[in-house]
Amino acid sequence: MGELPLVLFTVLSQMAAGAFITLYILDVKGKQFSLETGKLSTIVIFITTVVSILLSSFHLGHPLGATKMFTNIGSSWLSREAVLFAVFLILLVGYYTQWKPDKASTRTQLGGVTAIVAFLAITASGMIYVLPARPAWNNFAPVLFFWLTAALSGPLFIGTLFAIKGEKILNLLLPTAIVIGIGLTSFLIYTSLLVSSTGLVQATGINMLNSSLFWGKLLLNWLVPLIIILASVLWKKKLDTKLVTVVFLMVLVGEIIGRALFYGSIEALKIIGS
Amino acid sequence: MGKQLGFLVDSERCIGCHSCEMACKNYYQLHPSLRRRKVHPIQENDYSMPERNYMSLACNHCVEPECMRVCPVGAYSKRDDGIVMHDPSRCIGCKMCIMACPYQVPQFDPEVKKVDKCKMCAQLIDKGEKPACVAGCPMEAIQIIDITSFNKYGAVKLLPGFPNPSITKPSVRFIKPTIGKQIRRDK
Amino acid sequence: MDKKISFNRRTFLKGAAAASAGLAIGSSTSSFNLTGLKPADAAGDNKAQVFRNACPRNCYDTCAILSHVEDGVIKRVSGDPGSTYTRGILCAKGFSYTRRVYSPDRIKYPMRQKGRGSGNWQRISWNEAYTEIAENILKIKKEYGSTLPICLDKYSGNFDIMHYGIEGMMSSLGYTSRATGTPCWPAGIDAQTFDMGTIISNDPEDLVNSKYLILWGVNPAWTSVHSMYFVKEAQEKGCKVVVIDPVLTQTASKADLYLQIKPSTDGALALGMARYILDNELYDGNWLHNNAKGYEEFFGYVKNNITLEWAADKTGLPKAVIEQLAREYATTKPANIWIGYGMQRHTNGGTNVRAIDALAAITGNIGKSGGGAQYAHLQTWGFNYHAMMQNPPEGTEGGGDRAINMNNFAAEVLAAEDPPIKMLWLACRNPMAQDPETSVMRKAFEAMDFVVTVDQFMNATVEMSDIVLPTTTLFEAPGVNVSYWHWWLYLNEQAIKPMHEAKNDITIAMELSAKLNELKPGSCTFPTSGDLEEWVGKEFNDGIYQMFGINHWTDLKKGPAKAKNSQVAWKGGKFQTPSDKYEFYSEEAEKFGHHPLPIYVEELKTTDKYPLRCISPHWKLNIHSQFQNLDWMESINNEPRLEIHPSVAKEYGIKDGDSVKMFNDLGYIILPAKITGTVPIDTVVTYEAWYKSKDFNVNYTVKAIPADMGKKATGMPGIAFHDNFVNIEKV
Repeated sequence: MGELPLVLFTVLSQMAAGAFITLYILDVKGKQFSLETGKLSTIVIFITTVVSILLSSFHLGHPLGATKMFTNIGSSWLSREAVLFAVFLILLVGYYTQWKPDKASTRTQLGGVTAIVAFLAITASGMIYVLPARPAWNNFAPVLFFWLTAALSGPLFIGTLFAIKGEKILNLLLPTAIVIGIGLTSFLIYTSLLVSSTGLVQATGINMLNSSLFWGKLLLNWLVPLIIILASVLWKKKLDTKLVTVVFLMVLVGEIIGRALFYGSIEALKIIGS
Repeated sequence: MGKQLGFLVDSERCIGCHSCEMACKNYYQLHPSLRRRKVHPIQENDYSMPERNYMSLACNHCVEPECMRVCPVGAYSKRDDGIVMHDPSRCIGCKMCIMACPYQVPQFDPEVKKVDKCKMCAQLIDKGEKPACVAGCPMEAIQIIDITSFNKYGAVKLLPGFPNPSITKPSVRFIKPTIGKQIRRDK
Repeated sequence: MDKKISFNRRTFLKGAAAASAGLAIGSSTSSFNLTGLKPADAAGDNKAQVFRNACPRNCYDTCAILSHVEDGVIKRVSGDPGSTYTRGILCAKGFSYTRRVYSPDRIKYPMRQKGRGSGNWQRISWNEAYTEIAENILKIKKEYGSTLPICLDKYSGNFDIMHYGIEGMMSSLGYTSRATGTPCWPAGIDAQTFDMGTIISNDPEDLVNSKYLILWGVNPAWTSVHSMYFVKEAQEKGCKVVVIDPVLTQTASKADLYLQIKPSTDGALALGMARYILDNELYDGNWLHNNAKGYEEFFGYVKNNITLEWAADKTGLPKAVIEQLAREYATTKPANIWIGYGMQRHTNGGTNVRAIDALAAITGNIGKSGGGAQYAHLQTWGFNYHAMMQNPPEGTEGGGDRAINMNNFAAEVLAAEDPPIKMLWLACRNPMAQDPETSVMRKAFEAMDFVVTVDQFMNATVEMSDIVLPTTTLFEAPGVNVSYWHWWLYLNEQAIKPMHEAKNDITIAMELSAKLNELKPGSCTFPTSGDLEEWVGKEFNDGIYQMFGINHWTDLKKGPAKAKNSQVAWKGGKFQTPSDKYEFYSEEAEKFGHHPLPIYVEELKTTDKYPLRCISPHWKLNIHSQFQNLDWMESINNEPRLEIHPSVAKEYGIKDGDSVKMFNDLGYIILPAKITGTVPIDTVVTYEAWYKSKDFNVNYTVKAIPADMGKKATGMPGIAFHDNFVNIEKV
């Protein structure tokens, strides 16, 4: 796992960003939950984002120079990502102060801006990997899969937090199932396109199929959670804290495995013959 | 349009001896794992008859360098003469350029934990001298040319195994190796 | 049995010196270019000092090096532009020299091993080392009444003139056993000695004047890169370059025409060409009449015994190709042939060289600029060998040193009796790695009472020694060097202090002598002290000064010097044979058991059991067991490969990268396969090298088969390294 810092950073930061957008939507749509829970969720999202950034610093040769990363937003998506996550964190601090009974409308406005920044940050993260030197990444896939990570693990993260906090269990069955459907379909299409191509693109696809991480991702990220959701619906079992937590953790591990597969299977352009 | 310095790699004169690689390592006393210049073998099957052919490549000082685009700290810059420079004092070792270069030119120096790359011996060029690799080639197979005004008949933009030049517009030109007549004993 | 050495290198070189003195005709003293290097300019930095160094390796190019030193540390090396052969450029090996000097693997201090081959090394002081060595020497002297049980195996690890002091050290002990002969090139030396009297070749810078150049069994793109520049220059001036080699080498990849000859049949090709030249009257009758002896007998042999059909069948080359080659070679003027050493490492290597020499002679190409039959020369080696000439101690009995065949070293060491060999001294040599029949060599080492090796790295020979003494690189001691190919003379200055506790071989000799005389006065005549730079000066004589047009050896500090009147061998057609003519018919050859004419001698053939030949040429990133072990070299290449033809690979079910075992009844090696069309269908190729962390040694499969010639000029026949027959299987 050569790129463990990046695996963890991208998954956790996308989960946090997705969680925030979920929190914002719940708040805007008037879902009933306590201000305490809202505050706690904001703190947890903040801490998760900070932890993910600290983990990413292990990837750098000189982590203390990381502040220089804000300087090349003119051309570098990595620089833009750094700026966007920094702004996200600053806005979160402001958002935290707005969990008061009379601040609902400012909270909504600030939340809207923060949600947009969170979305742009995930997008920037994905765009970093759209590189001509890595043909299998040189398309919409990195951005799409990063969005899907946020869309799948974010709501489940919030759902787990709410459940632990004793709030009314959120009905995540349908949204989760839909995202899993989109994710599974797009991933399988993507893999097929890779394998049926040539050269480095095909080699990347074959690396993926040959890896146990591929099957781990399929199972933990999508298939098993999907089965659990279907079973709940069929047996009319209601979601409880335990179930939400289990599905969330499964998905989180699946995302981490999937991200490791992402970094580990890519074939890069080089001089052929060496 | 301004100047764009680049390498002319004569793979017909080149004998794959690796003197250019070593001359560079010797000049800068590089860490053993760093090869700023690499002599790459060209696959036999890419030519009509088997031969031992090579292309010697360092940094291609591209017209549209991916490294410069993706660097978050702006450690890369392109001089007026087209040389792409990496500034180690700004580098934080994020390895983004390593991911982005189609020729796998930048390398991570494990000792200083920053990226290392050929700079066409810019400090020697500024003095009117030749880069270490150019000066160190026994066959005079590497030259510095101005891509914008270079028009030698028969020079090509790539040899077999070299990535598509349209990606970054590398400032390198090649003289193709010629295959001589071979009287062989296999069919 | 005391075999008195009737010939030794000293005699050979003295003869060469006499020859060269004869050739050095009236030179002016200031007609060469004093390049007057200013250290500051060279380094581009006012703090740096620049020193002149001379690469002492066994290599055609033996470069003039400049070392750039700051604060006592070599910052980098460069070639000396003062030599028009080096042209200011080194090679991959030369440029890696700083990694050799500062390698963490360098042996830092004397060490003693408890149990040869055990790896159980302990550091000892130089005093302890000298004491133990001296005690062993004196013990042997007492027990056997002579120092003949002490055997020196020293050769080409370092050819710097000062290193002949190692032989001198042995001489100063008494009469000793000496590894005699040379493994690499003696068959060809004898061949040219029979034909012309000795080896003399044109200045390689003269290659540019050739209009037809045959590179015959030589691979200068790997083993003489500086010559390759001149080959290319010749090509650009319209010279046709033909490469004849069983393997499509790097050089062959640059040829206008490549002939994939069957290994060991080069004489057949030459004789076939001679037949064509004879039939079509393309020979230079005039030159032959004036300068050659026995050409009628030679033509008679060719007419009665050689046909083009036979030659085509033997060599695997089409008849039409041989005819065209012969016609082009004979009619293009001047035409040149460079005969490689690889080509003569066969059982018929010597006679094959004679046949090729004959081609050059019958076409009148010998003695011409851009023409000739180039092999090597020793014309610039006429030094005093002052360090080498030491007298035995007073009261030494016996008739002289005992010769042990360097090319069958282990077997002869084990077989030696009256007295037996009990102690080995190894310097500038790595026989455990480089000699054939490794298991026999191991037995020989195990049979010794005491083994001392002087070296820089823990190689296979050091591993089988009792004591290892660390020695200096060329940058750490003064010296002087010339070449067996170019005609330059280079001074080697001391650029830095010896690394760690390393000592120069002469220093070791002096200090050992002091210890011996301390324990037993008069037991060693080697001077016990002296300034190394003065020793360098003592190597020079008037002959050298005249040849190179210098007043004093210190002139060389200002720049390299080139021999004045080199540089076309045998100009004027006066040879050094008994008849003073080029001898097609050589009674000398007959005396040594060969046919007097350059006939064809049947090549060794593969067997059913071992249907593949293994050729093990030199590698481009090393010189034998030097350089490939350095970290910079390992980052380019860190494993040997077995090069196999695609159809052979298919037959054995081997794919590129597969692990292959190559074996015969002597031993085996296992290494990854490289499938390539640059090797022929009946031969596999692997390059001999020392990979420091791999148990790879092609000599596990190589027998000490003697080549046909070598005894006359070098005392022993050479080794037919490339007559190694093997089989392979996928593992």
